[in-house]
Amino acid sequence: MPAPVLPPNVLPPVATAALTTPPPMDAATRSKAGLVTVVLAGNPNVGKSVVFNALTGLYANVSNFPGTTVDTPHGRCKHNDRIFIQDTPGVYGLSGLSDEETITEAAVLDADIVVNVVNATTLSRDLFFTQQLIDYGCTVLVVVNQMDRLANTQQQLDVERLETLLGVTVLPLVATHAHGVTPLITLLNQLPLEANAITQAGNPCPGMVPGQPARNAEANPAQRMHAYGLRRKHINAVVANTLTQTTPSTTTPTSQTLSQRLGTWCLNPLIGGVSLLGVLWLLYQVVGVWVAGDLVNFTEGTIMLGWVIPPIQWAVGQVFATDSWMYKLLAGEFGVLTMSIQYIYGVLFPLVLGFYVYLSVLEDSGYLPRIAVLSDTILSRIGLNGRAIIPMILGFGCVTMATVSTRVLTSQRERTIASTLLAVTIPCSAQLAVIMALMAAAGGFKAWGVYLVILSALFCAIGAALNLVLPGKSTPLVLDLPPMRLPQLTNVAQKTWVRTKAFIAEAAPLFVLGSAIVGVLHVFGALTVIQHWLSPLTEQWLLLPGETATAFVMGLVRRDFGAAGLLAMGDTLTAAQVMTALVTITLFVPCIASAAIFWKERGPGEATAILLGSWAIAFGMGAIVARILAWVPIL
Amino acid sequence: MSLLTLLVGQTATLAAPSNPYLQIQLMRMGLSEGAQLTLKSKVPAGPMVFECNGTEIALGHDICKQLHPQPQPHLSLT
Repeated sequence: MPAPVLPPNVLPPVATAALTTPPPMDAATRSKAGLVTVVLAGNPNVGKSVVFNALTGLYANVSNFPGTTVDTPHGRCKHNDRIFIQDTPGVYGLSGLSDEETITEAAVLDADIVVNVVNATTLSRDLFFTQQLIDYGCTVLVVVNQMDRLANTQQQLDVERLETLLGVTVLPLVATHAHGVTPLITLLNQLPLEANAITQAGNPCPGMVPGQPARNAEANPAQRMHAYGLRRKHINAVVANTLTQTTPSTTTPTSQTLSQRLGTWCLNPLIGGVSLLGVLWLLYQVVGVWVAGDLVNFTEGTIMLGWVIPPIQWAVGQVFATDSWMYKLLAGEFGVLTMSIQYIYGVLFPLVLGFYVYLSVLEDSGYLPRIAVLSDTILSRIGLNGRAIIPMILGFGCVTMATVSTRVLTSQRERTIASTLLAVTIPCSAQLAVIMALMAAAGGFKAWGVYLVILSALFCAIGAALNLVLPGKSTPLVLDLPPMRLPQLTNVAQKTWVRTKAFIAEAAPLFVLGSAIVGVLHVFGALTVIQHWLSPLTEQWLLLPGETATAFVMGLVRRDFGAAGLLAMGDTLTAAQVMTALVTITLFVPCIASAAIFWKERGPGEATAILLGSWAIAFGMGAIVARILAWVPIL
Repeated sequence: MSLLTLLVGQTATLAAPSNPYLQIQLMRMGLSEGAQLTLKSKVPAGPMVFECNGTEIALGHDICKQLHPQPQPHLSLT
């Protein structure tokens, strides 16, 4: 008896929360203003974002990972000011199966023209969506991308025949080439063109009434199945009629290309597992050791503390006396002006930049989807699926950044589980550097073992518990694997820059707010009160010296401050105490910036639950570790 | 017998999935009844990676369990 993936005829809940920033004006306003709305739509990973970038001169995220467009970037066409262009998340059809499909459906129904990007090498898959757009009454212009790859597979596409069969204009392109998008621009430049050929309605799928009747029919599960069957059959016939093998198929190459072989290796549990460890180790070396250590020493220590902060303090000192509370609030230890700037530009910026470079290279290579496949076995047990490995890897760089990236997950349920795991169990690179140093004091190799076992066990336990408690079921993995390819330097650089800017823009105000709150607490003595109040807890509950309370409170401000506070206490702690403190501090509250992001992404209720939960787990687990290590002196 | 019994390198012709949700999801991706699936890799107790129409697609374990090959006399899959 096979287990159902989802109850038949029941679609997964679609979140009502808006995922996107709305376009500056609605379709009606745009059309009144004489603008033509062009919406880019297509399957995941077909090159919509490349086309969008070429048309607008803006930058949408281009990657080799399906499902990376979660917002809907939009802008004016740089070649024709009358055209408003909107990108959409990649979908396989309009069936309301995910938030992305709901967003895309709303966008295409509002469009004057839908530019449907399809991949020449996956036509039979992609044209299903094309036909659905035509059946729904959209004005469609089909752009066949990656024509160069099609030639590599010894196949030939009869474009004119495809145009005749679909009844819409079909434009072959190689979008990644320098002038690849020019034909599309030339065509769009003729807009607005009421009487032009490209505004013709296409041929509906045989047996279907196009427009609203088709949409109504597909709202009914039984009729939908029938309609999808007809459409699939029709498209298979269209492809069979237009795509021909240029060389006899008997000469199919027996030797695999390097890209194919690499792809297969990455999927081998042993090679893939070892390579993942290697990737994480290199990530730690690059981001954790080099960027978080050496580079941040320079940006924070030399540039910020040496050159930037003193003039600010001097300027504030000209206005307020240095012992006044206004001075402390603006330019003191937790000053809104000083600590925010020092942290955002001295620490966060180089860290996030370094991390995004690394991630962009991984993403463009086609490696990540294969790691998603490998990790699906474990992640599907804790209510996630393989796709969630991306936020988890990102978490080792910066939990705040990783929480934002949980948007790529399919359901709200998965986003809740992933955000909670990130908040509680994943130490970020800022912490890892200090944790690494403390490990030596806690007993080196053995200590790492204990630490890793505790955190992995908690990761699985929390995930499994949430999976049990939260209503619903995780969505099983269905993932396209793009071919492995060499990352393009310009794309990596551009992507890194755009993402870093976007992230800083999002996190900076939240961090300023957070440090203002801590600043106020500090100035009015509340931090000392909290430390005082925490002391018995640390002494009797965690069996640690009272002063460690300071480290915990500092951990609220910045996770690495907490661990660094412990490092400063150095020799006064036993190995068992260091371990207890490390575990507690890792599990303890995420930093201000990430707490603020939880608030924004998950809403006040869930964010509060995550924060209180992380306190409870941190102190509970700390107490358990302290007592176990007291009885069993393994360190 | 489900797709889970396939060995790496074997090709199967997909039978229509009995779960309607899964059926519409896969139909859109070109995996409808009669699609030719070649098993490329298999993660133990995890997803299977198939080649279909020149692209690779990974399907989770739970999905593969619910999909069945059409019986083919000339192809022994046991």
